[in-house]
Amino acid sequence: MIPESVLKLAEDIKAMRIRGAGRIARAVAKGLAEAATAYTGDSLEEFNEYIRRVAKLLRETRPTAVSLPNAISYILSRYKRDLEYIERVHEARESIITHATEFIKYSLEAVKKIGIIGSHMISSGETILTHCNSSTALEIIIRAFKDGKDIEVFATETRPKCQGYITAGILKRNNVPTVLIPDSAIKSIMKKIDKVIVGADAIAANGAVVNKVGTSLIALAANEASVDFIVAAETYKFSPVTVLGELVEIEERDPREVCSEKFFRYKKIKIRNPAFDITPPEYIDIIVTERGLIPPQAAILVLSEDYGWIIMDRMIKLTSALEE
Amino acid sequence: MVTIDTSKYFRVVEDIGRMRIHSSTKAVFKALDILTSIVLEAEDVNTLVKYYPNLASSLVKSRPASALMSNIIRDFTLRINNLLQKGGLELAKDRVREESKSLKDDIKRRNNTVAIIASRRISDGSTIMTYSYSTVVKTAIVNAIDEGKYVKVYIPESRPGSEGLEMAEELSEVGADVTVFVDSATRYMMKDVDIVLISSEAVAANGAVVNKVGTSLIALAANEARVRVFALAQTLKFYPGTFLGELIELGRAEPRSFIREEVVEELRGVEVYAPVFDVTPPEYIDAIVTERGLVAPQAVVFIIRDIYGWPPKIPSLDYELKRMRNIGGIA
Repeated sequence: MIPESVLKLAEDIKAMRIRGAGRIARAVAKGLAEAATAYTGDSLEEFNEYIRRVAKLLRETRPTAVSLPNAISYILSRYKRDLEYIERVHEARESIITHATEFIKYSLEAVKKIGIIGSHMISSGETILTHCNSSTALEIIIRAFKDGKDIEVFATETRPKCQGYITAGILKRNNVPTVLIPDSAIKSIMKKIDKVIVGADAIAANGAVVNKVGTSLIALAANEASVDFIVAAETYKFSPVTVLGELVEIEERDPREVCSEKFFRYKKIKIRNPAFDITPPEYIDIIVTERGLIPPQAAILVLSEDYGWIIMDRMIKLTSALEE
Repeated sequence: MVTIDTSKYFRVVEDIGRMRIHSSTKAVFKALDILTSIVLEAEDVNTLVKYYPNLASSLVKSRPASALMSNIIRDFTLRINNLLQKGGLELAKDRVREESKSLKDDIKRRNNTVAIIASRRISDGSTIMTYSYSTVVKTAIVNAIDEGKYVKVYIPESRPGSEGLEMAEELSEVGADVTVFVDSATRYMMKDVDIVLISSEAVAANGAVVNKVGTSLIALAANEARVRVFALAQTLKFYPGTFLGELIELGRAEPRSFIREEVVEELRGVEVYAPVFDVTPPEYIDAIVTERGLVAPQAVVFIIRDIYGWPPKIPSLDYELKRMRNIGGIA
């Protein structure tokens, strides 16, 4: 019953033919809209069941990718709010399509807005450090450079997949002076750095940031050296799943990304390859969102604007569970 | 005067400088071998004086941060000079192997004592984090295993150079359960760690430890997680010349040593910065394990005063090399 195009899209996400937090999120929105469009039945109850199945399929393509469920929550939470007034399937279909389209448009515009807002924080003569390859963080940096600010960027190599090479390549093509460093040199170079700018995969309700592994180590070193630590993130990355402080489960990727085949011969050597780590809010100075600059401690406010009813719902459930 | 082909020796000097020989103990042993060969190959004192000083200072310069290297080469040169004065080149040739061996034995003995003291800090069932490749840390872990303790070892790959992988292989062969991960995951992994053991290229007078780049990050993450950090350093690594605090000159790695070959062309124009060493400040080190016992980083000055007096009189290699030239009649 799920349309062919949606199944293919799910397959593309699973095989990592579609990747990057933003691109995955928009693909998922597109999938939900396509599924809603293709629905032909006339029972609202069955429609809801069908959408739940599509959402489950999409969510399970990469069970630990953190931006993905957020895109689904964005659309479905708004849809659930609409459900109070919805009586017919075509209204339900309309609602899903509207919120999915709205999400895609908003996500694309958000990166641009973050670039503009964030670039105002950078002054001429500053040295910026970035980690991994975040299109949102790069938007800020390149924007500031194009505004005529004389800046230099240090990019970490970002083992094991070395996305730092992609970042360095993009910066080079934009003529931004760039220095590539190994991840181990972060503390050594921190005294040269004025601002650290990184992206985010997800932001928890307490303002903790889930991002590429190594981000929290950079934040720690920046904190020690009193260097500003800035996170660039669209508000859909704020995760309602964590309102009660549940820890985001960290995806461990294929150990073959870390070292060559010969290490797998050793029975006594184990290779760990966590994809993300969690940066605590106290190491983060500011989060640049498309709605403006917010301190990490205000993450809960962003969540209550978008998912207020969910938060209330969970609080109530928790309270009643405690009473039992 | 007979000429000696020194090109093979300078190739080793380059290997040491480029960190292809990363353990400072191993590098010093190689250096002693080179200088011993020169003494043995020289047919007269003039030939010795022509080649020895140049090689000796190149060796010291190849590892500018290694206190062990400068201390040992100066000491070895002093011994050769004394032999030359006493009995000429013949006596020096006679005794050079012995002198080299006694210096090596002394280093090994001190390292073993350090390793024994450090292994007492490892409790049964504990998880140790270490970094890069270190002979003395390896010995400490081997001792603990030999005493019947079960140990798990966490090692970041230690880029650039990835010496952590070599350490992982060797430790797994002696029976440790080893876990390897990228350097970036250090903070993520720290929550499982009981003790951090690091080695050192040099210990500065303020108790700061110079070691492979990335060590200071490990110490910072350990400090945040309240995990104890022990730096293993025999006192020959204590550097009296660093009363300027942390201003030991630190070398840089080659860009090609860490950028993957296939992207070198694509990234032309992107600068690469890859320091070889970094400095871990004393406040992140709980104790320095020396052959004399555990020393608080703040107490390093007492040992330096013991060895070199106060204010420290730093015997210089240049002085010894000048002496050698005088003996050879080239002032």
